Amino acid sequence: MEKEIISSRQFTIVTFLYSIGTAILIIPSSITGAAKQDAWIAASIGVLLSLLVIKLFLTLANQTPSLNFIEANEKILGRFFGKITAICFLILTFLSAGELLYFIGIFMKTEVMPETPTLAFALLFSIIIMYAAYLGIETFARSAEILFPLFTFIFIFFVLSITPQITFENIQPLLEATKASMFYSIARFMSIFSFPLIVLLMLYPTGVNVQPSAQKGLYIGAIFGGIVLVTLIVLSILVLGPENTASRTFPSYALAQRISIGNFLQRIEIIMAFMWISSIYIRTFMYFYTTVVGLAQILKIKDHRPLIIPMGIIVIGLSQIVHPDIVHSTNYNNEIWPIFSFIFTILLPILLLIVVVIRNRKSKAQNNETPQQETENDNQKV
Amino acid sequence: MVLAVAILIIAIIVALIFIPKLKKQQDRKAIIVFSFLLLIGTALNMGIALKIHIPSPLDLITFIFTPIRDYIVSFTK
Repeated sequence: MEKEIISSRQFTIVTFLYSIGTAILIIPSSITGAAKQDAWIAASIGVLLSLLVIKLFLTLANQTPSLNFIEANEKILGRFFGKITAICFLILTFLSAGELLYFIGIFMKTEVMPETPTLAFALLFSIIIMYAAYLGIETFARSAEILFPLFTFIFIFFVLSITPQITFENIQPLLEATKASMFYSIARFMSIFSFPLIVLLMLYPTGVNVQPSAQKGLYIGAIFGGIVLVTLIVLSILVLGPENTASRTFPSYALAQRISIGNFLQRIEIIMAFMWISSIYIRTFMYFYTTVVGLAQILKIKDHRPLIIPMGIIVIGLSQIVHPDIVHSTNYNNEIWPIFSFIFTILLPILLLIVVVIRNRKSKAQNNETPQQETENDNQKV
Repeated sequence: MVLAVAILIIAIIVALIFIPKLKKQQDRKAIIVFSFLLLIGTALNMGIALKIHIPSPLDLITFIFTPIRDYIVSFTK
């Protein structure tokens, strides 16, 4: 398999669209449920804390400049434990890919075409994802570059069209939320916005041609994604009000349904849905690609392409069984997913970093004690 | 019922197309993994088509992590 390289501008765009992901649809509801009208404060704090999370990921990735995250697991923790943690991480990405396919199916079925079975949407979407995985990362990055200006244009149009309907009373009183509810809101926000950014570590060290600008690109993409999400949350609270936002499953779709310019331009919410479908596509592709490539690397299979179709078939099946209804999905995303993702996207990199630092200290101590054996230690260093 | 048979036929077609290609590359591990995953995927999808109740893997995840969640919630009460 020849190595595939993407430019840092493509990497920034992928980060931007990836971090928005499904958050653009469901985040306003889940964090307004806890923090009420202060949800935008929780989101802003979450975006700032996400910069620390990205710093953690970049520090880990720079320790192993020629390996992506799955290979780094095996190299740092040794063959046995590294394989176990990598498999657990792949279970996380695999289940998330299935969950996202469920999500696109339930969104289209609930809001757009109620009489179509969700399996039809999941099937169509997964054919696109499988073909994209077959064509590889470079083609995918180019498709993200094409989707980006459309996304930005529709988003700006959306924000401008909805602002006439703002009522500032909805966001008062300020700073009424308790510390516990802020903590829950920030945890839920970060679990959907920033913890999954670790999947981009499959791209970062090995797949990017200029490393320093790619690091900046990761920060810039995440910040702009955060700006988009905070804007959306603020608009939801200002236009719909906190109770209305918290009780809907897709508050931003309800927001788009309210766009009415001069009583003439109405019912254009499906054009807004283009935004959400593109961001879900980026995220689903990254999860699926990570799972397929990671599985091929753990099992030491040279070419990951034959595995795409069986994994795609399993993911379609997963998407139908993963949540029996939307209540189960909301409960899982609010209660369990923050803990699950925290363990494998924050604690696991911290563990890897600690092991790397301990190993570096040990080999430095050996270098100081036995200068004759220096060449042998140089070969053993990480 | 028709859907289950259609899934089986599609799986057999996929197997017939891909296994000779993999056999040429002499990668035994890839053939085993491919067949195993195809088997799981076909079984899963046929179960869904025949409306068998398959429990969600996220229920297992929820079961594992609920004690941790209760512990964290008890901190903030």
